[in-house]
Amino acid sequence: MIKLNVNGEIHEVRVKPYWTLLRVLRNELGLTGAKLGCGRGECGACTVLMDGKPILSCLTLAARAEGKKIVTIEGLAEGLKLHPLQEAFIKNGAIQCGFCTSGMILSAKALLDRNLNPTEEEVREALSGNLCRCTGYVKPVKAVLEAAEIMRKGGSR
Amino acid sequence: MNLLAKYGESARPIAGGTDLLVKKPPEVEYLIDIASLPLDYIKNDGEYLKIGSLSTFHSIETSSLFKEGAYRILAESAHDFGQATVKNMATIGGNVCSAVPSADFPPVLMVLDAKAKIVSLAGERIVSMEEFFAGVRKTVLRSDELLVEFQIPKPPPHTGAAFYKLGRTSVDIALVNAAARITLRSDGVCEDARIALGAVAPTPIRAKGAEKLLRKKEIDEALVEEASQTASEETKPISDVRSSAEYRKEMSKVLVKRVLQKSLKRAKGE
Amino acid sequence: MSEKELSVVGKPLPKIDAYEKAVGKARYTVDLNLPGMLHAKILRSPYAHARILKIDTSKAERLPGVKAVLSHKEARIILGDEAVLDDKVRYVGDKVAAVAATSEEAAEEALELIEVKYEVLPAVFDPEEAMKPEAPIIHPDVPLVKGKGNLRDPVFDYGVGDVEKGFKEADYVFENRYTTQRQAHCCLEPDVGIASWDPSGKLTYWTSVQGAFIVRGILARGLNMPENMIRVIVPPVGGGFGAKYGRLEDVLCALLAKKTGRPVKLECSREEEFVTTRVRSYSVFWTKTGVKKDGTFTARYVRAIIDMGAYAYGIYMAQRAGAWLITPYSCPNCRYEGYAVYTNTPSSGAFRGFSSVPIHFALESEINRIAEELGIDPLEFRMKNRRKTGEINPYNNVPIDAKGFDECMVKGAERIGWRRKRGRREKVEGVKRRGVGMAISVHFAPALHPDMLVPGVAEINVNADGTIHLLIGVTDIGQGINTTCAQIAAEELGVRLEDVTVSNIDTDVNPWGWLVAASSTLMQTGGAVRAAAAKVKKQLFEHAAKMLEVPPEELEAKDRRIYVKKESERGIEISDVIRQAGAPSISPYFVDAKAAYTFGAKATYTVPMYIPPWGAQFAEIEVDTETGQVKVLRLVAAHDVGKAINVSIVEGQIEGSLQNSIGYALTEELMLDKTTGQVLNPDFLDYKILHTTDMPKIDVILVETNSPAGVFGAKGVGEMGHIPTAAAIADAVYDAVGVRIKELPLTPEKILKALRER
Repeated sequence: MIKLNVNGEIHEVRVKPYWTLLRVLRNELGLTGAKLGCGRGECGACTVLMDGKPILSCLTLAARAEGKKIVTIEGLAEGLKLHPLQEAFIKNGAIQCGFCTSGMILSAKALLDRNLNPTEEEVREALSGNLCRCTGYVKPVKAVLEAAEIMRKGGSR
Repeated sequence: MNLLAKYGESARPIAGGTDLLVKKPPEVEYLIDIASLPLDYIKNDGEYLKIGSLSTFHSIETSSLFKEGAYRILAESAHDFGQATVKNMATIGGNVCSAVPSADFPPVLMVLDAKAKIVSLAGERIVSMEEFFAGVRKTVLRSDELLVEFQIPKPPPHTGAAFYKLGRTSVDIALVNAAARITLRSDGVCEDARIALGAVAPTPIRAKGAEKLLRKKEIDEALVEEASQTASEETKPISDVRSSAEYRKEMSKVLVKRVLQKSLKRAKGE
Repeated sequence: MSEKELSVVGKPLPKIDAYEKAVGKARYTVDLNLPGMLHAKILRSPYAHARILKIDTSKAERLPGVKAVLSHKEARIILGDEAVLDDKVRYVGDKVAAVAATSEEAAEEALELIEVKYEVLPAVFDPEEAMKPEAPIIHPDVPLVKGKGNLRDPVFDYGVGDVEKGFKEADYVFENRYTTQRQAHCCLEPDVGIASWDPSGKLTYWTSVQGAFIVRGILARGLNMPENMIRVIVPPVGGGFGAKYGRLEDVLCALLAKKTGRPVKLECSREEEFVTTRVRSYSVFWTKTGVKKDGTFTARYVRAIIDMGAYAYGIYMAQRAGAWLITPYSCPNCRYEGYAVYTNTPSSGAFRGFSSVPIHFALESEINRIAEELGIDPLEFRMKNRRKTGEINPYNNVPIDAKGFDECMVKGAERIGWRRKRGRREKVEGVKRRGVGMAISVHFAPALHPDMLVPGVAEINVNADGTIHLLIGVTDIGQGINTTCAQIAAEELGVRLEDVTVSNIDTDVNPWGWLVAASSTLMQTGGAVRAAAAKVKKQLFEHAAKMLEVPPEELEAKDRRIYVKKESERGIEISDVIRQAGAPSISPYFVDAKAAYTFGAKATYTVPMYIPPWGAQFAEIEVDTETGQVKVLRLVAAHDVGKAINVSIVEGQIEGSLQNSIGYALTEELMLDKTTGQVLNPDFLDYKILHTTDMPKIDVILVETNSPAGVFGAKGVGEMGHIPTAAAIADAVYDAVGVRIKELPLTPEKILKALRER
């Protein structure tokens, strides 16, 4: 039995010791935003934030996440108010099939939370662990830079 | 430590899990979570740089202690390690203890003359990087021991170091990696040279034959060329799905040349 | 059709399904679970070619949690040349048995308890080896060419004129051999299906596919059932690229659900994806080209050897690739021979740019070579030889529309700085060399093959409150077809994009649709949407005409309003037209039934003629002459899109194609063990696709030629970006360091080898 703090809510979950955080999020908590793309930490579709850092939930044992603040894509919007990254992704056509989107947005959020003025190179490096087969990364990178600009000008969070 | 002693070979310490949870060795029944041990630190006590074995690649990449001098190659190799997510999870201890031939930190630690501090219920011991690796995925660690710290002595003045990793794409396992460290005397002659290579032998290796060529000499382009050639002859690479043995041998020479040239520049303060 | 200024089409509006994906709430098939659902796993063959002499599933069946195990004894159902479960395996990874259990772990454990006795047979892994008379025969029961081993009958042989005569007339004859590698789709969402039977005997199947009705057909034939007892539902799809158009695993999933009486989910692991998805085929192209001194073609011959792998899904490639020999350039004598060969390797099949991508590498590379040998600039060579509008295309005997061809080449060349950079062999930083290269492309569009005309279908429902609901038969796999069709409907009807909703596919509800494939979806279905919307608009105008007292021809509709063209202040809200046409009940409780049924239409649409989508790409690269590594600095992709219904979507299609095609050129290859046939790199660690930090600067140039055959002038953009890239990069390598690599991918080892041998 472990206590997980996910998106600000505390969940008590019974887990097997070898269960990953990804499995618990998806199967036990119904938070299917994080995806299983490879199960080996190579594609980034399972990316979530743990204490603000982007990590691979498919390689994190659920028990390891106890006592940490986990943020998933479902925790980004405040009610109907989207995070500037989500808005920028939608507006810029950065979402095609959308399977890599939650991982990308969270990786980007971790970057912007510590650096609101990244260069394009820095954005690319922050997203280097998120594989995408649809977009060629062009519009996602553009969206992150645009969100950064909006946030610098005071467009919140 | 009690747990490690108790479970022996069937237990493994787990930190980031980026190798262990992928590889899933069948003999491992127990995972001992060490992530919350206070081993995530980087400190400089004047004589030694001490890096806790749980320091992540991210913290090494961004540490202010590695911005200058020979220690730069620690940040540089951490930077080249892989994607951002893995860098937040993978630790220097894990990278070294995985003992995969292509691991990025071992050659860097070797040229920096790093030693590993290893503890167990029986006490502690210090092991140099050269003595640490026993084979592919094999180290001298006993099953009841834990690697807790890397100790890197302060490099002498006029020392420059460089690291180069060759991959197929920007995020990759090394096909070959190379590190070098050169210390010059005040008259420009090479006082000491170290060259280490990874992914070209069952363990990371020091190219001692090449180093010998450089010591006590004035290093010019011809000598760099000769040393690189000698270094590549000291490698024993294999062919696998990533690369052929021939290419690895050839690239050993290219990489050693590049890290020597860069180390020399840095040693001269350029 | 109206000449009003477009207000919805042409705008880069956000996709209508972007919101749910941005907040992580879109539920893909992998995210779905049903009560009582079981998990299925498949036992796959460790051998490339073997007979199953004995299979004992009893231990597996007894494992707690296991509810059903199937082998060829229950499931040897044959569709085409493949069985759902066979008593023979034909590639490493071929299906042997299937298990359904209460957990994934139990299912995996059960696989290990299945005992199989194999008789290992000799295997063959190379198509040219497989055509030798002594090669082991993989499919003795299919039509094979006598004495040619595994060469499937017929050999595809077509062209125009007489190539032998053409070679005699040539000043120079060039011959060459090119090969292209196996490429994997790498959809981020793996193949997955959930099957559930209801008490009436109806099967519902949720799956991630590009063709719901195609899958329904496969299930119907595989299960020997009527199609109306099968319902296929497609949730949002996490990538298709040609991988997902139905497989026999779908039938297997349904059989497990039937046997257990419980829903069954079959989800592929990433490793299974790499091993079993139908790859872009390994291909060999033998080329022979005759030219005059001035570069005019006298004869062009290609023999294409297409490795189909274990099953014949890739036969289309061998059949149709000759279109790309014949269509783009003028040449009086052309001959294409397409060989489709079985080998004991993973099957090949559709992959974005299907019949075009490999052969374009060969033919465009050869043109670059010939141009250089004749001392003619590759751009000039192409401008000279390209087909002109009005010329008969011998491939389908229809006059060609070459509008856009020149513009793509000229604009692309200018953007990359072709004249300035070509031939300079630019030296940069010691051992690095830079160069630029180019290639063109043309691809499929509907009506290329008159025997393959597939209509699009669309249904527009108008609600009593004026909102619109659109039903189409084709799947949105991320390419944005739902949004684009909604834009078309909104434009034609004169409403806003947000007034139109679109359903995902449910074969019980949506009209029939084809595969999302062949760059046809927008052309076919978009055309049907516009046609249906035009019918509804006519209905609306009839009513509005009475209300405004003008003939319907004098009306226009825009931004939720119908107005008199010549007096635009005179108008009426569309919702008012609908309300007025209705008969509201005296009780506010009831919906206005009359308004609800008065408006609405269904339409089918067939694209009337083949209008080719032309393209040209220019690559600027840097070669490290010591390591052999190629860095792509810049890629200019100039493509004739006809008309961009949604610029953001169109650019996204091309940009995404480039991540794929640059990988095809440089880093991607599904590698097989030469002695066992096993896939050596079934993971992202060693199957290298490009990350953000590998991408060059990308310049997309959209050329809009307003196709006479496309809805609002559009052309299909789904595949065009894939096609010329590899040849452009290979040509840039030549420009930088003077070597031509003829085998994809262009690895550092190949480049170093070529530099040494020069």
